[in-house]
Amino acid sequence: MTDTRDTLGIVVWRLALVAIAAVVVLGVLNALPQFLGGEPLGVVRYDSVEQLQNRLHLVAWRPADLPAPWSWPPSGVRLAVGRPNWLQFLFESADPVGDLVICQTTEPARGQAAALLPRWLLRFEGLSATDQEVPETLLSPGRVLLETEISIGDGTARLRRLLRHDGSIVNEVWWQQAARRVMLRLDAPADRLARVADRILRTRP
Amino acid sequence: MEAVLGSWRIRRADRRIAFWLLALAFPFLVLPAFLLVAPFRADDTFGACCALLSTGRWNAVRMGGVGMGRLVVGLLALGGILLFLRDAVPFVTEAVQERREKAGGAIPPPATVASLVETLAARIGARAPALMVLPSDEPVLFARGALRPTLVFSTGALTRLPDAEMRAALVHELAHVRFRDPLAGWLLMAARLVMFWNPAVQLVCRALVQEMEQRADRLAVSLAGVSDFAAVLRTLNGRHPRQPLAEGRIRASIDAFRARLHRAHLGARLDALTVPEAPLPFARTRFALVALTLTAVLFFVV
Repeated sequence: MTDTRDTLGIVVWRLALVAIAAVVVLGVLNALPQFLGGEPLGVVRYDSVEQLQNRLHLVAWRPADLPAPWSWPPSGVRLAVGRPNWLQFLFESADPVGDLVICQTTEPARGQAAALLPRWLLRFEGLSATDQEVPETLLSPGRVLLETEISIGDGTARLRRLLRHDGSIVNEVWWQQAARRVMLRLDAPADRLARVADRILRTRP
Repeated sequence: MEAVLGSWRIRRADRRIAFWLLALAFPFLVLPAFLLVAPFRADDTFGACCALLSTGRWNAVRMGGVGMGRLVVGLLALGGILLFLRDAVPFVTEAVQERREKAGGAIPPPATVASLVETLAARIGARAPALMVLPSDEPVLFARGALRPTLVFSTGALTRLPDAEMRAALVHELAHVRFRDPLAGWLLMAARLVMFWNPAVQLVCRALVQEMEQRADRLAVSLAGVSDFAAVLRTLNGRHPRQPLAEGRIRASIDAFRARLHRAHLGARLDALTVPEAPLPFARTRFALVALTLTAVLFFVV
């Protein structure tokens, strides 16, 4: 009886070792891209907004008009998976004013993995997004130096000034657009950012 | 699968075949079943939040403007196609050649060989196959025929193999007949054709063919002894395979390399026969455990 149990134990133990080795190899292969110029875990890069919309079956909010020097389409389209999902559009500019980043939330569609997983598991995986902060995997975080309410378009928004880890200061404008949270970030003075946000919001598609 | 079989030290060819068949079931049955049962696996969000390995993540790493994921998948598919062609082309050409040789006029088999085949077939529990003798000096002996098994000999094999070795060779081929290996060979080739781009399917099918050979080897050795069977292998497989590829020194180097590979392969095949086949306790439990583990791991690979 003891022999039988020992043999079975060895069988299970050896299979477990092989399975663990396989899982480790797969995990390393999955993590490796982020060290080779790819995306961090939990983030997906898309070639275009259309590709993102088709693959996720959603309609992203898009600004009807962008002031120069930025123009549609964005040069970078990324998704941070969570509940909510965060989308990021990057508009690059050769102009000294810098790159404009637009982030927005979307709820995962029914049947998508992020909607099926319980919140505690998402938290465990580091994917527990809120609509108050853009995930660090998508946008470098910073310490809030100033937060104030401003008027843009027909409504109000929150202006935030942040000190990033590299010592630079950026400004963000946050507002609610129907069911989604939208954020604009620009490495420029707050009044410039407010004007950009105002233009985006005043122009209707 | 090889790691599991190695860690459990499973030597019995029939057991190994069962495990390899389980592995083959995954691309044909289990992965399509995942699509039906868990369609959310195809979603990008599954790859990003739940997968152990999402190959799509490698597409964000660019090399020459192409995503590494697509590049690697393309290279693997190319490998799969080459593996398929490597075995499918000889398989088809040999089948065509046999048909031609048969049409060219087969010689009636000697009565002694026919009676030996009947005796040995009865001894190992195989149905006595049809016999066909080809007029060729090359030492050739194999079993063919998916539905109607036939043992094909060349006159070269009949003259070169002494009685004891002929007996060992016949048992080996009759073992193929008993286990319906020619039919299995066609089915495996069909599976490889269906998934000609999939290197895993190609490798698993190749492994299955090797295991079937080893199963027949074991039966031959059990009845005829290792030394006679080793002599048969050297006689039937000892010549340099296929035609030379190039002229001069390059040709000589390639031929020498091929000969070395060939000798190593024969050596490994004979060495495998000297390892005793231990019984396999908990065979069904092991099978179920492997099936569950593979299903669990592969579910999270997209």
